[in-house]
Amino acid sequence: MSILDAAQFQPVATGGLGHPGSTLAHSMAWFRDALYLGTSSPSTRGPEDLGRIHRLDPATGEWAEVFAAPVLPLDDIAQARAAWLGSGGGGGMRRQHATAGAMGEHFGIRSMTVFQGASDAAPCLYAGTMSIWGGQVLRSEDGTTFAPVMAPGNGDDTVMSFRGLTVFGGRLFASPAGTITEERIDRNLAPQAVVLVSDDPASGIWTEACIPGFGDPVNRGVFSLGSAHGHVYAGTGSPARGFQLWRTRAEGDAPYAWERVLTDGAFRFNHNLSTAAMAEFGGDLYIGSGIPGFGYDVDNDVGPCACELIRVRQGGSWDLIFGEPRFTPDGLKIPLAAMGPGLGDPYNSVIWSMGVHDGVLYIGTHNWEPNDIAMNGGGAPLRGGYQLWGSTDGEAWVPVLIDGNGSVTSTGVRTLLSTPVGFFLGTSNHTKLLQTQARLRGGGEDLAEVSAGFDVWLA
Amino acid sequence: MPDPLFIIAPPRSFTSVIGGMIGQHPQVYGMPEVNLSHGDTLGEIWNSLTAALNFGTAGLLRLLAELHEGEQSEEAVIRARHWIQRRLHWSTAKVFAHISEAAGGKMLVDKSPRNTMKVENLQRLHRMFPAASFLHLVRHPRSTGKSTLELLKAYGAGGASRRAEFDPEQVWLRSQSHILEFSRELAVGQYMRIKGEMMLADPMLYLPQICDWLGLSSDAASIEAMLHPETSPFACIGPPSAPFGNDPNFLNAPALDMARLARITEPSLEGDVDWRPGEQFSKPVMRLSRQFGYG
Repeated sequence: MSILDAAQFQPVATGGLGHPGSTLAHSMAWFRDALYLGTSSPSTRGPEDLGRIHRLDPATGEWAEVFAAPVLPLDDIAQARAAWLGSGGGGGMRRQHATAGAMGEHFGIRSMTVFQGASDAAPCLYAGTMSIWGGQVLRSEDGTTFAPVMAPGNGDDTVMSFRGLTVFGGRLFASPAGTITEERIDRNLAPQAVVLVSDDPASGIWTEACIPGFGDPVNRGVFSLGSAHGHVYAGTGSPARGFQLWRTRAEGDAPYAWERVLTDGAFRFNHNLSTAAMAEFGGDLYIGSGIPGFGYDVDNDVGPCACELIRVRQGGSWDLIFGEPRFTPDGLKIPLAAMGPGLGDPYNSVIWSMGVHDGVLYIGTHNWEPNDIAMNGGGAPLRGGYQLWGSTDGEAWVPVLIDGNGSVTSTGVRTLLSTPVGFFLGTSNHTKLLQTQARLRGGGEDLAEVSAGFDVWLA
Repeated sequence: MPDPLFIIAPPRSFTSVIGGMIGQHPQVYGMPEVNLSHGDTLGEIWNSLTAALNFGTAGLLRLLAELHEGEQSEEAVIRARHWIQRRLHWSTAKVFAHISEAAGGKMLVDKSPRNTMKVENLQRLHRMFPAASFLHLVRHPRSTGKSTLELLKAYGAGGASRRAEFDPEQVWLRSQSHILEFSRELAVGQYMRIKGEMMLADPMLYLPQICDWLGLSSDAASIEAMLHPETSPFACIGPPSAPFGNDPNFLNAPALDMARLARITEPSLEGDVDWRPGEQFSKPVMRLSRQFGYG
C-alpha cells in the first residue's frame, strides 16, 4: 500500500458538469459498475439550481444526468422558505428578499448508498435529499428511475434533509438534518435529534432507532452515522456541551439499546461542537469533528476553532490523533500525529469526508482561508483551499493535496469514494461567494476567470 | 535548570491547593506567589508591589528567606528584604536563575496572580522561559466570584472591595481573556487547561496525567507526596512582616480534606449573578464558561 500523490489525480468533472450553481459534489456511490454522484445547490436561487444525480460510465468516461429534481411552483409558504437559501453557510444567515417563482423539489442529494431491503429484488441505490418541502429518501432499482420511499421529512416537512445513509445488519439507517420553516433555517439541526431505520425502505416504513437526543437534551442533532467493528455509530452536535458519540449493535426491535462512547466533545467541550465524517480503518472507527462553516457557530457564538481527529477502538477506548492535548477522565490525551487542531492549520474547520483506498485512510478538509482573505485581506490575492491528507497507520499523516489542488475557490473535499476503477474525490466550490466577498472588500480581480461549480477528481 | 511550570488562572481558581499539590512532587520546587512577571528588573517589580498586608511581597520574601537560610523567621525575612534592596538592578531572569540554583535545580512551579493581570506579563514569562509549561486552571465564574468576595470581606485586601464598581465577574473575564490570547502563541502541548473542580474531585486520576505531561515521575511515592501540600515550608502563616504569600485560607488549612473535595460541585451558569441580583452573567462570560466545559 502507498499513499496517492497529487500527480495521480485527474479531473473527470469540472464546473459542476455544466451547472455553475451546483457547488457541491455532495455524495457518491458505486452502483452497477458505475459511479453515481449526487450534487447540491445549497444556495439555490431558481429552477436551474437543482439536486441532481449523475452517472459516470468508467468505460467511456461519459457522464449522464440520471436524475434532476422536478421543478415546482412556489406558493407563499414555499417562497418564504426558499428565501432562506440564498445566503449559504450555517445558521444565523441573512434572508434573501427575492426568490424565483419555481425551484427544484430537491435542491441537493446529501447522502447515497447501495442497499438491498427486504422487498428489493436486488441491491438498490438510495439517496437522501435536501428540500424546502421536507427532505426524503429516494430509491432506484436501475440507476435511472428514482422514486421517494419516505414522506417529505418522514412526516414533518420542516425536516430539511436526510444524511448519513448507513447500511448495517440488513437495515438502512439515516438521520434527519436541518430545519427549514418560513421563519428560519438551520442547515444541520433537525427538529429532533434522532436516527431512523428501516429494513424495507420500499415499504415507506421508517422507525426511530433511538429515543430523541439519546435521552439527553443537550444533543441538538445527529450529525453523522457510520459503522465499525459490529456497531452502528451516531455522532451528535451540541453547542452547549460538545458532541456525543453513541453506538449500538442494533439487536432486537428499534429503538435499540445504545451505549454512549464519548461525551462533552471528547472533553474538548463545545469546541468539538459536532462530529463530522466517520470511517472504519484498521478495525477502528475514525471520527472527525468540527464546527460547520467557518469553524464558528454564529447562532450560539461558539468558536472559531479547527477540527480534530479521534480514533475509537472496539473496546470503547479512544485516542486523539490530532487536536488539542488535554487531561480527561479517560487519561492524558496527546495528539499521536503530533499536530494540533486542523492538522496545524486553523482554517481547517471540519473534516468533511473520509475514505479508505488501497489500505490508506484519507481525510478531506473544509478550509475557509480563502473566505477570510476575501473578507479581511484588503484585496490581497486569495490563498488556501481544501486539503487531502493520507495515512497508512492512522497516526502519521502526509498532505496529498493542498490549496484546493490548484483551485483557490475549492474550499472543501465534500466526498471521497474508493471504487474498482480508482479513488474519487468530489469538491465544494464557492466561486460566486468568494467573488462577492472579495468584491465588497476591494479585491477579487483574480477570480474573474475562475469557473464555478464542483469538480470531481479520480486517482 | 529545568523549564518551569506556570499555573495561570484568575484569582480564586484553586491555584493554591493545586499548585501546592504539584509543588510537593519530589522533582519540583513549589514556590509561594513571587510575582516576578510584571517587570524586567527586580526594582521595577519590587517598587510596584502593594504593601498592604504584604500580599504582593510576602511570597518572594519568604521564598528567599527559606532558600538562603532554611527558615522563615522574622529576622530571615528582614535579611531577604535587604538582599532584594541591594539587587534592584537585577534582571527578572537573573532572579529566577538565582532561585532555581538555590532550589537545587528542581522544576520551579509558580502560580502568582500577577501573571495573568496583563498579557504582557505572560509574554514576559514566555520570553524568559521559551520552553516553560503553562497550566491553565479554570473554575466556574459563580464560585470564583463568590470566593473572591468572601476573601475580600475577610481580609479587605487592597482597595478593590471598597470600590462600588468592583465586579469579580469582570476580573474572571479579563484574566481568562489574557490567558487565551497568550495561549495562541504557544506550541501544541506547551499549554494545557483543566477544570479545577474536575481535578480536585479525583486527584488520583489527574495528578499522574499532569506528571506525564510535565515529564515527571508518576510513581506511587510521587503521587503520595503530591497529596500532602501541607508539607511545604510555605504552607503556613509566615512571620509578621511576611505573613501570607498565598491564599490565607489555604495557609490556615493546607491539608487536603478529601471528603470536602469530593463534595465540590459546579453551579449553574443560569440564573442571577449572586452579587448582582436581577442580572445574568454577561455573554462573553457565558461563552468562555461553555468553552471551558461549564453549563
